[in-house]
Amino acid sequence: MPQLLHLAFEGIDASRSLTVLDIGAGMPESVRFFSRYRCRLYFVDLFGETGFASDRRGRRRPRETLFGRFLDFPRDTSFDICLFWDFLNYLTNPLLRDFAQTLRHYVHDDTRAHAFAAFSNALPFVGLRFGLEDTDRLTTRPLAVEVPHPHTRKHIADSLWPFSVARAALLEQNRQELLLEVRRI
Amino acid sequence: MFDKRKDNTKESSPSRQPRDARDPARPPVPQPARVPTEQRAATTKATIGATIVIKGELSGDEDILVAGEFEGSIDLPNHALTVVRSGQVKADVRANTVEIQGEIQGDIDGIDKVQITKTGRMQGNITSPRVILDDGAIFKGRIDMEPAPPPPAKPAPPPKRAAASAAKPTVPPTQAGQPAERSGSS
Repeated sequence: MPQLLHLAFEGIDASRSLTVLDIGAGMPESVRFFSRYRCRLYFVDLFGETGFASDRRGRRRPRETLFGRFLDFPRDTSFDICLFWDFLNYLTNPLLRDFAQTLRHYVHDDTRAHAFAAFSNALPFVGLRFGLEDTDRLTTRPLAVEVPHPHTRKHIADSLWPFSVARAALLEQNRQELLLEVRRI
Repeated sequence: MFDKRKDNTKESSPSRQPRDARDPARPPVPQPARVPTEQRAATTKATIGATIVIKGELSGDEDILVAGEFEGSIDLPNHALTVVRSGQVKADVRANTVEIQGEIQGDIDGIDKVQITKTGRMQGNITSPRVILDDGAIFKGRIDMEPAPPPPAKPAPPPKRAAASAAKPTVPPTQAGQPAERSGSS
């Protein structure tokens, strides 16, 4: 299914340890896949944090601290690959920006990210959970709900600084696959 | 009957031969069932039972099975820790292998392997050359995977060969060699 994912792995220096951020639950196939690498793998299951924008009492968390809480990595963390899957489509516009802003502390010039966007935000976009079988093969588990904020490629490109859309590919079921790179300043 | 008892007393001697040899027609006296080796090993595992609650430091030179609650630290560098379904561990763990069927909160250093089974829940960081998540396992945290140690040393070191980049198209081998795609593109 994925056409661009393999590009996220291209040119990676295999002599050093790979640092990967997976915004999702630890999936067996993903762990199996990455066990081929020397790597440090962070699973941050923001999907699993039900109503992660609210605290346990249902109070909305302040926007500015929201991701700081969940994306609080050691200072020297620098991701080579970020796997966002469908996650961006769960975020409102301001949260999309906050998410990228928080991550900017943990990326470097060669960081690559992979994400899915909607081809059209007027069409249904059903959320999936993904496992990484190989760079050209994903496993999916349906979430059976439509994502709340489907974003188009353009929208993501406009909102996700410091990430920029390097490549996009149209997939079935209103999906677009995005390969993101960090904008060099 | 009497004979049998006599026989039994005699049988406490190391050799079993006399009874069978003397009266091969007699039905054999029931003997304790042989326990398969694996099962025996399992039954000899030191177990923290389901109703036991322990806080402290645990270390040892045998496999441990946790069915109860444990809080503290666990150090079994040469042995296996198994946390069964009812087991709850809040501890930093170092063990040769760790199998999680229950719940662990803490950091795990799995010298050989860490496996979270389908009923297992783990929150914390794992460092191990081999980490296995079964479908249904719940994991939150970080995994550090170092490649498996190199295969057994070659007996006679031949003259230096070019690193065999056994061509897996997109995936690098875990060792120093680089995959075809990578080496091509970098």
